[in-house]
Amino acid sequence: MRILIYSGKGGVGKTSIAAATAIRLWETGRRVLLMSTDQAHSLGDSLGFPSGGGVRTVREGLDVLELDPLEEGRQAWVNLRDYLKEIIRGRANGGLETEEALLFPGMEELFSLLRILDEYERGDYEILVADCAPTGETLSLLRYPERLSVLADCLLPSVRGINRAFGGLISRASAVPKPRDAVFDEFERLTKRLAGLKNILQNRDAASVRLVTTPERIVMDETRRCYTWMQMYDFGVDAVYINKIYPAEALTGYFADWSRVQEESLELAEESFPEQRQFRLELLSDELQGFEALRRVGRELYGETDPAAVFCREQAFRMEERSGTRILIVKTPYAKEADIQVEKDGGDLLLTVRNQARRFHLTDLLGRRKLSGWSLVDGELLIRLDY
Amino acid sequence: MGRIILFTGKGGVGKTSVAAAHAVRSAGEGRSTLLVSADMAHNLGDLFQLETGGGIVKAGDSLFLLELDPYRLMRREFPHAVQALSDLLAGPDLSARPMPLPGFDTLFSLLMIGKIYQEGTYERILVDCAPTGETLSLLKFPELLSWYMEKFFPVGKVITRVLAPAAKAKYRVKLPERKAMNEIQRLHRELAALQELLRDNSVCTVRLVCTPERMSVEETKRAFTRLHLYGYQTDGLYINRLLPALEENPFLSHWREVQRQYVGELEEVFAGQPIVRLPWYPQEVRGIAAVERMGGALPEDGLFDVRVRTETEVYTPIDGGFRLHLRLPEAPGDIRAECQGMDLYIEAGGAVRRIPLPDSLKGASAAAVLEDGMLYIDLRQRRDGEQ
Repeated sequence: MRILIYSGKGGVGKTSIAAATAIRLWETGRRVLLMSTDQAHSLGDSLGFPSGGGVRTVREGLDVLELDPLEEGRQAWVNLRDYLKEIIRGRANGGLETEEALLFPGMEELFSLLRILDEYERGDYEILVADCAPTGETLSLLRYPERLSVLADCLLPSVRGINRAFGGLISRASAVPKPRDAVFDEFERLTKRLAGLKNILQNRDAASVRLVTTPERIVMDETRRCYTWMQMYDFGVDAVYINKIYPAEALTGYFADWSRVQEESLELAEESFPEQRQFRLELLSDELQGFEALRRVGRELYGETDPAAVFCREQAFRMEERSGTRILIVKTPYAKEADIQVEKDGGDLLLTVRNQARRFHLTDLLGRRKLSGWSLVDGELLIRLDY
Repeated sequence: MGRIILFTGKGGVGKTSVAAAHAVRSAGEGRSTLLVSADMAHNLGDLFQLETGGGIVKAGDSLFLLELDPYRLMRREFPHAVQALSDLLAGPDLSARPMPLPGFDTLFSLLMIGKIYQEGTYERILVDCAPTGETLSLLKFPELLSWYMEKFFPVGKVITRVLAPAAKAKYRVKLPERKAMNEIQRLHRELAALQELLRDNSVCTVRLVCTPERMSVEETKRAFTRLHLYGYQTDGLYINRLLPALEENPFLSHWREVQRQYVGELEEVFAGQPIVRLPWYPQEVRGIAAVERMGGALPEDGLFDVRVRTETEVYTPIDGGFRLHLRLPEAPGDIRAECQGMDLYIEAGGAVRRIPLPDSLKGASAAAVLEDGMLYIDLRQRRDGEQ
């Protein structure tokens, strides 16, 4: 089974592109499940079927599931939430603020991803297409399954033992209710699922992440930041979609200058995602809605290309740390030292091999480090970053 | 007394430009003004075309810029707590360090702003804040924590002290040490003080920046509710990137119509808030001249006053949900309340008020009760299958 995850900032059109892709795949005869987490943009509306919970069949072989990330979050944490609520209830104000406080911002997207894992394991479909917008911070939680597992496998049982033995005592001394076993079980289960999700996301044949962006500097920078996170965690980003490109007819008169702004962003995309397949889509004359309109966009986007193909398997770079120095490692199999030029450009690393420029957007923390040198070892370029 | 204005909005809507335009105007009045970027993706340097980073930079008479580095702040002010967190979660694999807990970078930035305010060097502090009101809702943690800290913390300290050696030897998990625990206590105190400052509506207000597009409008509505819920004063909405009348450009003229529809929606939700409309400039807002041009498009009078003081809408718990209290001095007879999608609609005497619901109340049922100049709306979570 293939999992295609369409990711990007709100407003870039990832839901529409995910829908157009799902329809295109369905046209080629696959059994497809389209999952949407977008709250502001109902798939029911745009595909023309009554909204509601659960899986809906839009056409034979094309099912849709609209997820409520909030509800997913609630279910994943039900026991822990109840426990926290119990703790908080002692406070005078156990009102709505408490309810809201237990909706951990940024976590919902992670729970939606876990739901993809469930569907993957169930295996009813050939292809899962999902829109989801995890930020780098959210994804970084996936880095911890190993650590969380250590905690869960080793420490929690002992804490659980202590909790059984002394929980009542602590509870009386502190007036904090003793956590139930269910809280621990839930934590363990969650870490296991996170580990499973991580494995799938790192398996190129199973999952591809596709970034949707618009040709504007700030949105493009966000996309590049997200891409850097994905690379660091070795999740396979195999395509980039540049959506809402202003057509020439729009960029006349007052807006003539905007074409330069747009060109710069498109160039930036070329330099930042050279290994990925790039799809471009112009801004349409109206908001994208309706099954037929989405089907047309799907055909236009892909032509004869199979949207389920793995467009890129390479990890563009990896990071290592050696005695305080961060090393960014890029494969440059055919380059000679004399051809290589490395410089820092703001928060980017700019690598030029002959006349080919490549840009690596650094995470905020790395961006503050200085470029202290580079070396070429066995076809790999090692770029050192220090404070 | 000083003044703090926080500008917030989703990435890409132009909140940095709007904040900068205010800063230029404020400095132009001869008031010493500090423009702070608390967004991790800093672009003040880019905007003013100055070398920034590392500290406060003078950008003109009475105008100063600061790009905050929350990680450096974290390490400097709370080194042991940061280390403890890293030890607990990041493990030997250093590339995950420091822990990017969602939202916490912004929280540290806000702490820094509190400190600058207390020092009293600047008359006005204008903050380009990280996206959306979620950030501010993170300030809910002091409240939740304080109870926990008072009751549980002393006991927790003992437990970790007892457990720490065993955890380290047996499971290679390092629990926080005493120094770290003391820092966590101090952090909690500082957060509580910060919360008080940011909720003081004679000093601090929040202004929302958005663009007239569906996703931006949805996020802004939700941020508005969140801010209300946590007791922050909002006193302005900026609708950026409005298309001008373009007779010769039918393509964009159509999108102008689409924009008009979203502006209408914003006017319904933000009734009572000063709304500032800003045009879409055909070039990127970059360089001091461009910032000044936007500054010229801002309203003339009272720009830096606290422009609105509202009573917040209060929610109290009732059986199976929450009751929303609204002041309604003139009883207009027929009142209807209904939840549609993520908003609550109240119809009274021919006027419609639209209140975006907090996330935890989405899809609730609504019933209105009018009593002594107060309107109560009872919101109850629907059970599955109920419509």
